Amino acid sequence: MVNAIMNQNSTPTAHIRTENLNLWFGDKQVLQNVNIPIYDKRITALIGPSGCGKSTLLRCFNRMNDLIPEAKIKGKVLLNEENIYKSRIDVTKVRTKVGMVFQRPNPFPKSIYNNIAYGLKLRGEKKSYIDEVVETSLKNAWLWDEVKDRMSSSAFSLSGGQQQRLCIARAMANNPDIILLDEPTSALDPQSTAKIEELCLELKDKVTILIVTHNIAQAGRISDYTAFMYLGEMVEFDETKRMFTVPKNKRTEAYLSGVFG
Amino acid sequence: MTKRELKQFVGVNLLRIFIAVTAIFLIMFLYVIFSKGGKMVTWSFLTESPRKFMTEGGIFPAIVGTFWLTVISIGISLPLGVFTAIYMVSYGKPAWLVRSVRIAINTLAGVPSIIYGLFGLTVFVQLMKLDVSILSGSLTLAILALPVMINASEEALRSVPKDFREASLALGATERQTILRVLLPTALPNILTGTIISIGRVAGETAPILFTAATFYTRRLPTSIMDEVMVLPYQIYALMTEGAHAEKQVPIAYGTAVVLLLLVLFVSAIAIIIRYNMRKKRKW
Repeated sequence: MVNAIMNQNSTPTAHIRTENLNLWFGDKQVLQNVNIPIYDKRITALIGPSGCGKSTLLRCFNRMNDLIPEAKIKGKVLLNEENIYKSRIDVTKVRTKVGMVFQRPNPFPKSIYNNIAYGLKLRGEKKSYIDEVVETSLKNAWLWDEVKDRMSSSAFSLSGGQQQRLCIARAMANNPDIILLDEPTSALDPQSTAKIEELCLELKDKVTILIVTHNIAQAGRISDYTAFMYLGEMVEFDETKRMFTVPKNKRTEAYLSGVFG
Repeated sequence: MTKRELKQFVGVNLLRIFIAVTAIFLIMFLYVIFSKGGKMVTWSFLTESPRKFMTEGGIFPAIVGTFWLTVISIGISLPLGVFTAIYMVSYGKPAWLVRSVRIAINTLAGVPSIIYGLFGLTVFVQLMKLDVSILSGSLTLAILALPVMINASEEALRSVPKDFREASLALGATERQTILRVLLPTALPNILTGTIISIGRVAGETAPILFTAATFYTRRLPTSIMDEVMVLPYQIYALMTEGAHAEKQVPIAYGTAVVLLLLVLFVSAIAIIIRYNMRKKRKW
């Protein structure tokens, strides 16, 4: 039945969405009344010029903005229709369900194995289970063949592209519903970038993906939906194909055609 | 030679002179100590107890005393310092508390060591009735070492890239798990540096143990931490100022100085090796 729905190209259900989300850093309002649905098992791209608030929005979905003391949030972020900003919610559980990969590859100064096992060990999983998940996660991130003989060597011995795939595998090991990618290829060379893009397309069967990117072409290549943000506002949200061919908003059109960036 | 080349020439050579002066003092220092005390250091000097009120025999009890005082005081100040630093770095609230702690630490760092001795005498020896003992001396030395320990640990923790903390939290770790599993292990080599510095400081201090732990002459070894002990730096002081047989005591004092120097170098070397091995494993 799921296939039938997909074939008809109808809108899938929103896995996570925001409802009138506003965010301030001190007195400065960074997000203005943002409403965006992130659809299940799809890739959604967030694009927009520097400082438009796309990374900030991304970090609302796993409450990483909590780390910034002067951040103030109003509105809702609904994960499977549950507001993750309601009081007495377990933030660590939210972050287990909503994984994240950062702009710069940031593996821990630990072995390859222990990087992937990190999240599982936090929750005290059994060794045999961890071994199994480490292997599948690395396979899913297309890293297994490259590292299977040196699981105990430092994660820093990997190349930048491999490190970023390690970070994806590390996030996937938590078996998240959604993974957030914050410009995951901006520090990588073209080959590594292509590999990560392909990987995203492969992973979207398993997980919902939200990716922030500076690279308009990248959004066009991999995303099903695109959201264009400008000065903290959600200017346009649509299917990528439609937005890239017939943008409804003039600012979207200007941005996509490279008038400003 | 143009003006710029001349400036360069003068500048570089000035630096060379400065470094030469520094090096000369260090070499002279080592030469004086080793030439006067080096020949005293024999196997029996290291392993025997003193005889005839320190005019003959060895300094083994003082080596043992210094060892225990150093180990116990570091054992106390290291966890205290690390935990304080963790609080200041990771929680750091309320701001006024952190600021007062920092002012207190920096003040503590500037206090002359004899005042630590008086404090130890009043609080540990008299008030807490611990008597003149290894424990009292260690506690006093621990307080002395605390500022260095806290500052080094704080710096070490702050120098851990914040990427690691974000990565850990984003994987669903709590703040506590992040500290224990990522922050501390990453900062450990630099915390060890602080410990090395403290060991040198603690092992060589005389004033803080003057009234709290040291005794001039005993033939027996300490059996518990409530015993008073002979200690290397204090022994040097005592040999040079007390007793009536200067011609026999002074060489022993220099011999003791050599042993103290070597002991500190030895302990530091161990810590440096540990740190080197830890650092070799990580790079970022």
